[in-house]
Amino acid sequence: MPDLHKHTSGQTGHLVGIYMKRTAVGLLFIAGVLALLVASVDPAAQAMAQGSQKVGLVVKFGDGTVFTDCIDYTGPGMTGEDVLDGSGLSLVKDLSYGLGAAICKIQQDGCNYPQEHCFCQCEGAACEYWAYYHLDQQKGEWVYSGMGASWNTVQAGDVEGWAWGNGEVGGSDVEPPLATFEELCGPPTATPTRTPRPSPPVVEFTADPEDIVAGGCSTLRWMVDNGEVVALDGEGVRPDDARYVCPPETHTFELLVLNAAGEFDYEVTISVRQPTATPYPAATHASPPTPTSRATSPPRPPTGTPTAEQPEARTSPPSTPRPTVVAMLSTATPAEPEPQDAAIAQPTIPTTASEEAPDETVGLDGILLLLGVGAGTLGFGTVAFAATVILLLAIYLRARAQF
Amino acid sequence: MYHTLTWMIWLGAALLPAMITRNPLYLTILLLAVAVAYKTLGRLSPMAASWSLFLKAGLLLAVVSVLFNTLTVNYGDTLLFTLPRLSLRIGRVPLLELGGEITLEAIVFGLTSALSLVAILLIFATFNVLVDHHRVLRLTPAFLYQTGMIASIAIAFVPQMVSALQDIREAQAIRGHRFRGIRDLLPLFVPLLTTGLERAIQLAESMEARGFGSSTSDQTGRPRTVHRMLIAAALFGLLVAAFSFGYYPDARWLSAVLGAASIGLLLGNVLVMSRRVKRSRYRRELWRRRDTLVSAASVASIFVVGGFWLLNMEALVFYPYPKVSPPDFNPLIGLAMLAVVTPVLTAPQKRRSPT
Repeated sequence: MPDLHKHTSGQTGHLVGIYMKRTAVGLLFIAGVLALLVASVDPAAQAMAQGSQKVGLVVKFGDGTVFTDCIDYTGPGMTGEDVLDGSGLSLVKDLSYGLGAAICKIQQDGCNYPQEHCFCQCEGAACEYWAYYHLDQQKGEWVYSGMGASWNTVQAGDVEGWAWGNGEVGGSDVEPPLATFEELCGPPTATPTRTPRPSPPVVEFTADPEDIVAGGCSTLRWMVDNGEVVALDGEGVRPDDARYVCPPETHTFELLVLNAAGEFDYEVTISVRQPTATPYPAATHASPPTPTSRATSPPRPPTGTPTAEQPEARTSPPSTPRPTVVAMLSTATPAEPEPQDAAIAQPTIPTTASEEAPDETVGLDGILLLLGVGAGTLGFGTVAFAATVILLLAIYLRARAQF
Repeated sequence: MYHTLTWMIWLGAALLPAMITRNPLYLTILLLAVAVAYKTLGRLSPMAASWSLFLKAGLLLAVVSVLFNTLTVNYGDTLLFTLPRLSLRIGRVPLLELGGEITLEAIVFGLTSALSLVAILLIFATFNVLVDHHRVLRLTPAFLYQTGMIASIAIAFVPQMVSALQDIREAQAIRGHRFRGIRDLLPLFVPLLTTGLERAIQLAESMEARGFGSSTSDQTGRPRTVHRMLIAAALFGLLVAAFSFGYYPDARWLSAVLGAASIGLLLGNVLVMSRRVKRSRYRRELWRRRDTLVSAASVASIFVVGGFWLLNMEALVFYPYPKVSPPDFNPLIGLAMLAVVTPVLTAPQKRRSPT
């Protein structure tokens, strides 16, 4: 018996040896395959060295208006989706399938996923959706993309096109208008041979009143001349319109106007006073100066002044698109109003300082949100959910004793 | 305990919300309700053990789903941290991109997808545990008994395999075989395959011996051909209706009328043909008061959830992108999910065994 035991253990040892060898060979093989496949690990670092290279973008909306932009090339991993993101246009994406995004809506054209499905206007015979193209720069024609925007990588100097309509392989009449890279991003040598610049829009954007007590409302009015796309806080709106708003706390409304000259941002802040915080006379006292100082941003000066000074801010192509909006604002808005704004805000509205915070994306923010999801704000829904779960538990406990 | 038809309606009521909503609150309630149904009614079933297998498979799927979504989707406003990006590509064409920016939204979406997957799996697992699949067979229309038979065999495939696997493992354990790694799967799979084949042959033989496939209808010749043609026409009409419903959104009412007419024709034919097939039953299932209660609750639940789906889709959707926010909870929908536990509430009290 002991002999047999020894024998088997010896055999096992031998087997283990073979097993380990095979595992090692297998691992080496897998590592080799992976090494062949992995072309780049973290290309973002290489991107820095690329300098100021650009990608052109042409977007043709359903009503025939065209938006063009010149986006910074961020590196070898940049996709068509990144280009579109960089334009600052408001997008609705469907990411339910894990492998990249489907573009459901750009500005006002498209489908509001998830309330409707992403291609809600492409149901059979009448099919309209955001068709995606690349510009074949040698032939000078648009080529319908064989891949989705999340999977298609772009190179510096490429031109990307999006058109709302029934796009097809092999060309159709919905293609965006042809625009070469030079037209979009200017000649690489920066010779000033550009054709007459398109003029910026003329915008009037006001709030009446600009100061309200918590629970009160105000009317936002805007009139846009020479604007192709107008969006209020990221939502497409008509060029001349008004909206009745009741912000619960101090809020800065943002009117984004796009036309051939670029994107223009206008702001109006409606400050909300908490009724308990300030005594009545102080509030009436403080309100007269606020409108003058708060009408900070470009909207106010009606027609003449902005057209004169804004083109300068636009023509220099933005370095990173989203921040540009902010950067443009700070260039358009003189530096003084901010401290002035804060100075006035301090006695009346102590909350103004926190206004900038929501735009930042920080990990802590996420954890707090997660806690918010978990604990809930003890609203009606949370209580109802908890009650349902408790009811289920009660049913279980009663039934368990019974069966 | 309950009529098989009751269980079928129950399955519909449980499955509908699991398929159409991603709202984690509703899915959690649904999961808990299904678990309660299993833990109370299902424990006594001979198939009870198969549930844990489904649970394990569900958890594995959930982990894969969360990891996949988190690593491949880099979209969302709430950036948690950034991992080095690993991209597998052939030339310029990317195969798979992993890592990069990890967002809370992607994790939340992965979790909700996982929750819905696990819910669907566990609903079927519980249905398997609670319902005898031989009884499901008897629900098919009389003239379609052959199809019913085949469907029932297909449904029984997984539970039978599970029990066979258990038998084999027990037998192997008695012989001193211990399951340690992937290599030990072979002595498990070979007997499983042979028992499976053996069972199939046995089944075929016993079916043959009972005259399966021979005609039981007294209908012959022309009338039968006419009925068959009518069924084919009804099915074709249904196909055309489904196609035109999707392809011509402007003329949906026309497609709906065509579809309804086709379904009517189909059902009428089935009724007429079934009446001519003589079938005898050895044991009849009883429809009791509790069946009525459970069915009514399930149908009400289907109506509530279906109504929301058709009229107010927004109440059911949960989409964390681009910035996650706490899901809504509508008490009416939450209540509709509780229909899944009605079989537990109305079940007869078990007599205590005199010990």
